Amino acid sequence: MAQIADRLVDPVVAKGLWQVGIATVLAVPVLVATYVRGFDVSLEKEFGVALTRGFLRSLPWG
Amino acid sequence: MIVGVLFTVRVAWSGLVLLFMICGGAWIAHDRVSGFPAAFRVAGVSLLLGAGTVIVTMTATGVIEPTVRNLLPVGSMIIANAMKTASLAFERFVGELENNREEIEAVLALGVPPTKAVDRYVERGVQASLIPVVDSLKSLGWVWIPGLMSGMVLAGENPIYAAEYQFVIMAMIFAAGGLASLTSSFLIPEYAFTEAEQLRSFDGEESGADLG
Repeated sequence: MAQIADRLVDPVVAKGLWQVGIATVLAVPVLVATYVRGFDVSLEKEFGVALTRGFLRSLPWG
Repeated sequence: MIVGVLFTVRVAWSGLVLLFMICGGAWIAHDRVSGFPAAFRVAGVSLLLGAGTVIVTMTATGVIEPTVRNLLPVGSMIIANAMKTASLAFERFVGELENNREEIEAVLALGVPPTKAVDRYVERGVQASLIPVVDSLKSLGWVWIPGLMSGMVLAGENPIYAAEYQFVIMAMIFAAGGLASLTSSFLIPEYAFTEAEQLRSFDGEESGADLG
């Protein structure tokens, strides 16, 4: 448990969260472009689900 | 050996190498629909805008460290995946046009603008091309653990950071693929019709050498 706590307070984890934020923002133009183009591909829903599932499930592996 | 040599060059050269990779990716994507006019140009612009924008933005914000050791492997991952998405969008779109040629020609005969006549097929192409990357993102950390995370953990990196970074890579791949696919959706209809607003033949005979 102490090892896990050490890992969580590592500054590199905060840096990683910031990188996750930037990467997520980068996906926004794709969603906006599909909307502007008038495509009904439900990408925002797909990406939202993928984002939540992917991120939340990948963290416990760490 | 080539990678070893590349890692010793100045960081500015990595831009040139990435550009070379984009050209290679565009060539492979264009090969998938070689009968389509200006296929290489469309694939090249799509990859440049998709992968290029993501690599430049992520390097500018410091997510990708501006070193050859970081830029080349991460850049190649982004370019290769954007190429796959663009190829899928191309292949699907041209297939849809071929399969629905009579319907499209009937709609054109009614006076519907060409880009409007193929909008539905472009949409299907974009949707189909993004399925692999969206599914990969959904299954991350559950069905699929990319080699990148394993490599980082083996190299002694904090496993939590490795998990975060694998998500960052997947989000970059999604953004690059999405932008490449959408760029091609804007460009493809422009080249699918003749000046007389007739649907071109995609068997290679009318590809037009002047279009590239």
